[in-house]
Amino acid sequence: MAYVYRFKEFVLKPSFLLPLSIFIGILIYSFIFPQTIAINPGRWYYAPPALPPSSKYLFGTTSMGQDLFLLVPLALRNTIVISFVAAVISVLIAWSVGSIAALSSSIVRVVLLTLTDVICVLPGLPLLMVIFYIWRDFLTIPLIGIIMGLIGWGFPARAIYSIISSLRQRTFIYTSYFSGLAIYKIIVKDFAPYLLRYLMINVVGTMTWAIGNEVTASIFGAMKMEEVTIGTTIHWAMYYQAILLGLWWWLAIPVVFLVMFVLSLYVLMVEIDKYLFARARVTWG
Amino acid sequence: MHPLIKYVLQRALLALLVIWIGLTISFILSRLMPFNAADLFISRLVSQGSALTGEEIEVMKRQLMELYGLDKPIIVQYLIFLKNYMITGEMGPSFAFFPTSAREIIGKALPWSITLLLLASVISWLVGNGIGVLAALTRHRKVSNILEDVAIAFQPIPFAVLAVSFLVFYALVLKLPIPSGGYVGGATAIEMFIYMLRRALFPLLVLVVFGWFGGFVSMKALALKMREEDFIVYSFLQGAPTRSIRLMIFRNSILPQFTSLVLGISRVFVGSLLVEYLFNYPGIGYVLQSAIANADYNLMLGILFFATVATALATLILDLVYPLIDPRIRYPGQG
Repeated sequence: MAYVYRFKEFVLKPSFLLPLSIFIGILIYSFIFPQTIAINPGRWYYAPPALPPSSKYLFGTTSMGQDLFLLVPLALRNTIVISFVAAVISVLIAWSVGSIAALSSSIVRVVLLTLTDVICVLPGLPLLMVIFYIWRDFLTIPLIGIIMGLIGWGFPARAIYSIISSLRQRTFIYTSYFSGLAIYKIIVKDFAPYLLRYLMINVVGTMTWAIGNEVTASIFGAMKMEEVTIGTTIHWAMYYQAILLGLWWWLAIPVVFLVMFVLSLYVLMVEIDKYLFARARVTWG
Repeated sequence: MHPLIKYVLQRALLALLVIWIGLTISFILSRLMPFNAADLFISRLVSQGSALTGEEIEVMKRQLMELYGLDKPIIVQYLIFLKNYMITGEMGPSFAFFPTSAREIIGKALPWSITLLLLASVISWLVGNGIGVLAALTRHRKVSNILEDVAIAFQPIPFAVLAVSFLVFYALVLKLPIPSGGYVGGATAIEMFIYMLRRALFPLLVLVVFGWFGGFVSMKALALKMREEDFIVYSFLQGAPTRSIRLMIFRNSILPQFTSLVLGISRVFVGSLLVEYLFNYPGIGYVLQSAIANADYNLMLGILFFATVATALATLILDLVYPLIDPRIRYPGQG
C-alpha cells in the first residue's frame, strides 16, 4: 500500500477527490437545494401521480402526486441529520464512559464496564422501534437522533476503553511523561493523533448504524410517519404497493441516493484514515 | 470455589442482569406511555363494533387491570410485572388477536424465525469464511482482489437498503411472486418442515447474499497473516503437502471467526426481522410488523423481552463455549 504523506498530494488524489465531490454534491442537494423550494414537497398531489422519470419530472413522481426530485433531498436531509445527531451523542457518551473507565479506579471501572456490556447486549433495534412507536406523536428529527445515540454507544465505548487502556502503557507515553512533558501536551501530542482516527471511525460507523436503524424502523412503520425521511419514503412506497404497480423509481431513487451518501462517506473516511495513519507513523512510529 | 464455577456464575449473573435491565426498560416504557393502553384497547374494541356485551368488557377490563396491577402502587406494579415475565411467563393478551396471549403468538412464530436464522447465519458464515480462505491462498490474485473490493464496497451499506433493493430486483426484474399465507395446520411435522424450508428459500437467499461480506473480509486478512506464521512456514519447508498446509491455515484462522457465528445466531430477532416482513415469512419480524400496524403494545413488549433473552443467552453461550473451541483461551484460574 502506498501512503501519501503530503497534504497537497493527498487532497488531489482522485480516490479522495471523487468521493469528496459526490459527498459535497449530495450535501448541497439535500441541505441547500430544499431552501429554494417554495412548496412543501411532502404534500400530496402537487404533481401528476405515478409518472416515470422524464425531462419534466427528473426522478418521476409518486402515486401520491409528489415530485421525487423535490422529495428526495428533504428525505435525505432528515436522514442525515438523524444519523449525525445519533453519532455525536453516542460518540460523546462512548468517549466519556470509555476514557473514564480506562483511567479510574477499579470500582468505577467495573461498574462502567458492566453497564457497557449491558448496553452492548440489549437488542437495539426492537427497543428503538418500541420507543419510536410509543412516542411517535412527540418525536422530532433531532430527538430521533438523540434516542438512537443514547442506545448505540455500547460497542464504541468498549473500543475506546481498550484503546486508551493500552495506549497509556505504551513506551512513548512513558517517555514523554518521564521527560517532564506537561499532561495536556501529552494528551494533545501523543494521544490525539491515535484517538482522532478512532473518533472518525466511530462517527462514520455510528452514522451508518443509525441510518440502517432509521430505515428499518420506518419500513416497519414504527416512526413518526409524517416526517419525510428515506425510511418513511420507502415505507409509503411499499404501503401503496409501488412494487406491484411497477413504480420502481419510487423505491430506487431514495435507495440510490442513500447508498451514494453512505459509500462516499465511507470511502472518504478510509482515505483520510490512510493519510492520518501514514502521518502518525512517520511522526511517532 | 472452583474458578470455573465462579466464571460460569459470573457470566450467568451478567446475562440475568441484562434480562432484568431489559425488563425494567420495558416496564418504564409501558408506564410512560402517553395514554392508557387498557383504555385504548377497550375503546378500540367498542369502536370496531365487536359483539361484546357491557359485562364482557367489564370482565376484560378487570382482567387487564389485574394483569398490570394498575390499581396498586408503582413498586408493586413493577414486582408484578417482573413476576409475570420472568416466573410465570405471562405477558398478557395480545390486543390485536384477543384473546390469544402474546406468548402464544410469539411461540408460534419462534420456530420459523429460528429455522431461518440458524440456516442463514451458518450458511453465510461457511460461505464467507470458505471463500475468504480460498481467496487468501489462490494464485488468481485478480479474482480475489475483485471479490474483496465488492465485499468492502457492500459492507458499509445498511442491510435494510440492500434488502429493499433485492426485493425490487426480485419483484420487478425477476418478476417472481412474493409468497403469502401463514401457517398450515394439521400437517405432519415433516411436511411442515418442508413447507417451512420452501418458504424460507428467498429470505434465506437475501440473508446469505448480503451476509457473507464480513466473514470474507476478516477471514482473508486472517488467513493472509496466518500464512506468514512460523509454524506454517516451517511445515512448508518440511515439504508438507499443499492440502494439509491449507487445512492447517484454515483450522487456525477459523477460531476468531467463531465469535461472529454465535453473535450472528443471536440476531434471531434483529437481523432477519426486516427480511421476514419483506418476504411475508411468518416469523417474529412478521409478528412485530402486525403488532405495530395494530398498535398492539403488549405484543411489542413481549417481542422486546424475547429479543433481550435471546441475545443475553447467545452471549452467555459464546462466553462459555469460547475456551472449548480455542485451546489458547483459558478460563480464569485454569492452569
